[in-house]
Amino acid sequence: MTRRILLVGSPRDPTYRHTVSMPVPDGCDVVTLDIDQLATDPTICLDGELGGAVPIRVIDGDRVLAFSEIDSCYARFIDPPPEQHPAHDEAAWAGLRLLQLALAAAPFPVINRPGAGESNDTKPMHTAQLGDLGFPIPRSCTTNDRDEALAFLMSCPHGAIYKSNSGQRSIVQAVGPDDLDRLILLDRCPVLFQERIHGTDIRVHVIGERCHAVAIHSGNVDYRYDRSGTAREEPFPVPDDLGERCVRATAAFGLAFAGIDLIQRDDSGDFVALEANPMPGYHGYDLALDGAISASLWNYLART
Amino acid sequence: MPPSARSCAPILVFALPDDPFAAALRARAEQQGLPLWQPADLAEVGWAVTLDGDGADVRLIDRKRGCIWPSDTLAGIWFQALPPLATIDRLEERDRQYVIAEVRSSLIPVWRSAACPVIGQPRSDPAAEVLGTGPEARIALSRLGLPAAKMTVGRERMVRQAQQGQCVRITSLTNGESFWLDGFNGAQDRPPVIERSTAIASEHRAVRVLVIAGQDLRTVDVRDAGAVSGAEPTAEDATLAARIRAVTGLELVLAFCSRQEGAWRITRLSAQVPWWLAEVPGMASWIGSWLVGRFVPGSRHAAAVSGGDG
Repeated sequence: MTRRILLVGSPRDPTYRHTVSMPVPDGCDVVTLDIDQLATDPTICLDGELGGAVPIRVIDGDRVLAFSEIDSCYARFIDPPPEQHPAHDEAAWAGLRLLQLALAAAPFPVINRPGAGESNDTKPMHTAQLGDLGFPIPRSCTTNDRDEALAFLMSCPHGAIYKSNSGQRSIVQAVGPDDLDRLILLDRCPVLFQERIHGTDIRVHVIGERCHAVAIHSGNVDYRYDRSGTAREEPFPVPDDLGERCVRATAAFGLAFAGIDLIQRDDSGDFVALEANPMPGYHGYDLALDGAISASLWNYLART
Repeated sequence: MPPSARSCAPILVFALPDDPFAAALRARAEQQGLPLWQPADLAEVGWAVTLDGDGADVRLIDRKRGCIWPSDTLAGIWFQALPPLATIDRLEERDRQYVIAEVRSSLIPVWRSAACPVIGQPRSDPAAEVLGTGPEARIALSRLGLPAAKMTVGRERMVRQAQQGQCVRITSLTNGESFWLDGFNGAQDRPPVIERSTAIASEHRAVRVLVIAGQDLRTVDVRDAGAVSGAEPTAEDATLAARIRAVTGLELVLAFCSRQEGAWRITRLSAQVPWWLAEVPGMASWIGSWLVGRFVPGSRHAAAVSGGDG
């Protein structure tokens, strides 16, 4: 029996492009939905009453598919292109929101259901939840007060880092001597400080109950921005107990697919959890793992 | 200087300067000699949430008076709205949005982890999910077994309803703005109605608001043109209020309901009290008294409530 899989995303997104390009298991019929086209192409059509579910039909060429005809979905929502920003294009933005709502209440598995893992947008709470799920976490302080920040920084003998509290992307940076003079600016905008954990960055991707991990060796505090050319990634065998915790955390956040950032401490070997990303940009790690992540992802979509 | 006795602990109020309910709370607190701290500018407040493996430690700082309040020394926190933050006025829009997002995210652990009572903000994930005007909140209501009002989506159906002479309230899914579509003569912006009504679609536009404060309940009817009046709670109101209380755990919550299929259905839940409810006689003082009683058990709350408008 044919499995109908809906892929939702933008060709501007390298992770989405990577997913589309990877081998699809036999017996699957893949329907793609380009979110950049929602304004100009009537790809989705909603009509009905919203109660516990959203009535939606997907138009794929000459085919009109009801949600009941779809078996599973992989969705990556990224910001619309500048010309489709809501200030410019209300129709495109509204179409995107409707689609997110529909998938939030869809009767089939969605990787990941919009709204799941939202605590990631509030880093202090998210960190606390990881602690509740059994991970060691870095000592943290979110504050808009210079004296409180200073007291926290003084309590971190191995240094500290700072980053944004919200889901807004920021470059994680180490607190340096010059930053102490800038703490006075905190009363204009709070910042999240964390004790610095010295060790190796580990990224674990969880799909259902499967884990795939990469160790990243970088001299940068935030390896994503390491432009030195010396950073390297290598497959990392996930210890059973760590894998179990990662699977449990992924499910607890309501996710089927998560990218969990950890640091393995140099001194104790413990794995300290930093965050669980609900929409992992996994393509770079997948290349380091010879496609193991995308293979698990497609298997999940084909079998769940 | 940190306070040493709970008796001098203030009630911390986050509200806009002209909020009528904050004014009522202020009056009630003053009457009873209770200290109250309502910052006029958010920059007057410092906060710090320190997290380690053992939990969170929350501290509030009154910069104007130079006091530091560990959260277990505050009588309580009531959140109606973020006070203005003067320092962002001159920022560009993008930077302003960044700061607001950071402030909100940084304050969430204050609401969730403070050791004192916190009213007006959810303290759990299920409570957070059901608050708000968006359709997501309505989906969450259904998931939690609360009767969510149906919402019309899809242009064709809305136009059909309008052509049939039904009054349809259309809410923008992007910015929350809404307006009524009357007949098929096009949309008309009617700000007073938008401000005062929350029904999605109703032939008579009748809407009932359940104001749930702890175990207490008051009901308000909203009629055409936004007129509001107090109403006697029915058994149906009380049953729905009890379910909302049990499911959300929210102590002060407003349920905006429309009549659909012979029963009240929730169009939205809010932990904030809209200014127009102050038009209902006795409402502001009732909420002010309830808050004082919640934050300072043993105060003269009960007498004040039974005393009516006061």
